Amino acid sequence: MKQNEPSGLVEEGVVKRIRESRVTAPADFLSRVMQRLPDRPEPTWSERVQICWPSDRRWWTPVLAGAAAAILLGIGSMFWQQSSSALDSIQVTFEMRAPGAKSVELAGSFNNWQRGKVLLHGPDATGNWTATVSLPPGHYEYLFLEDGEIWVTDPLALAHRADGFGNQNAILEL
Amino acid sequence: MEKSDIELVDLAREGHKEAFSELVVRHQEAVYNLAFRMAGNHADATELAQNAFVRAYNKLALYKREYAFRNWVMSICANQSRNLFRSRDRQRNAENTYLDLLEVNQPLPESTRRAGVDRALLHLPETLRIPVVLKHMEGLSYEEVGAVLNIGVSAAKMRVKRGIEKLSGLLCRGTNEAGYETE
Repeated sequence: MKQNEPSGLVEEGVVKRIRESRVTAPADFLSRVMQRLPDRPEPTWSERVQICWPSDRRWWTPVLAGAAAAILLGIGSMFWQQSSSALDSIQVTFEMRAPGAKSVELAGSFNNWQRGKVLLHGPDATGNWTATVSLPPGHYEYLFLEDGEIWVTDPLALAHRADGFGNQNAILEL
Repeated sequence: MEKSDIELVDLAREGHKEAFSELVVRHQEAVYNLAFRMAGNHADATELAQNAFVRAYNKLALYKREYAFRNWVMSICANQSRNLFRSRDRQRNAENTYLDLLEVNQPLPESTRRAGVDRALLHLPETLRIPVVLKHMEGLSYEEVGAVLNIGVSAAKMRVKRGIEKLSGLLCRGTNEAGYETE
């Protein structure tokens, strides 16, 4: 090819040379490809769902399975929450000396001051009444109720606070 | 009667490997040639072309029927080639090899002339080399070149034209400095 040849002819020659430069695959190319193939092509996502779906049109089988899984998950979650709150709670023993009382109960902010919910056991030989309650950490106020009539504060409490009705609520910090 | 590519794809999707084997036989030369032009050596070309077919087999579910199967596999091959070069930076080595060739001062035999074309192709940037190979080695139309590379027809035409111009320049330099004729 001469240096001053028109560019069109030059390019034609280049294209011809390019075509002649084609290479061929190795003789064992096919067998090497086939050795590497998995048994089947990868399924699409819709095909994967179909594989898991019952073939006899019992559509409710996976639905029921899903519902059962949801229920189990819910129960597990509730159990976990209960376990969790039980683990977080603190056992507190309340003690009141009232040798002459017929009954002693406990009421406080932890049970909205409801009467008749926490009864103390006693009296023991020393005249003490006791009850053990699980409470989560927090700030509480409470009183004992003797014979269903007389509100008595806990003299063993670390602090007290006037309740505005003439009583001194016992303070409990957990 | 010979089955079409699409019929073979359908059979292969159902797990008939012999159908896919027929597809490999039909198109291995085109895919391998493209891989060789991308990689610049037979070892990497074999790996690239094999990977392209294996990936095509695995992803047969994604194959679109309006696309020629050969072009689809070449498209996969081209994408894999780009990833290979990004990680290995082999094009720079190919360019250095070509520059070494230009320093030869005596006429070269036919095999070396062909090596000159091979190396000149490798000297082209990838964006021009693949369109040139697809158009002038594999005989694809500009529409098919554009489809394989996911570019427009006019862009495909422009890249092929620029690729040929650049190759002409490279080979002329090779002729003058190396002392052999291009044609």
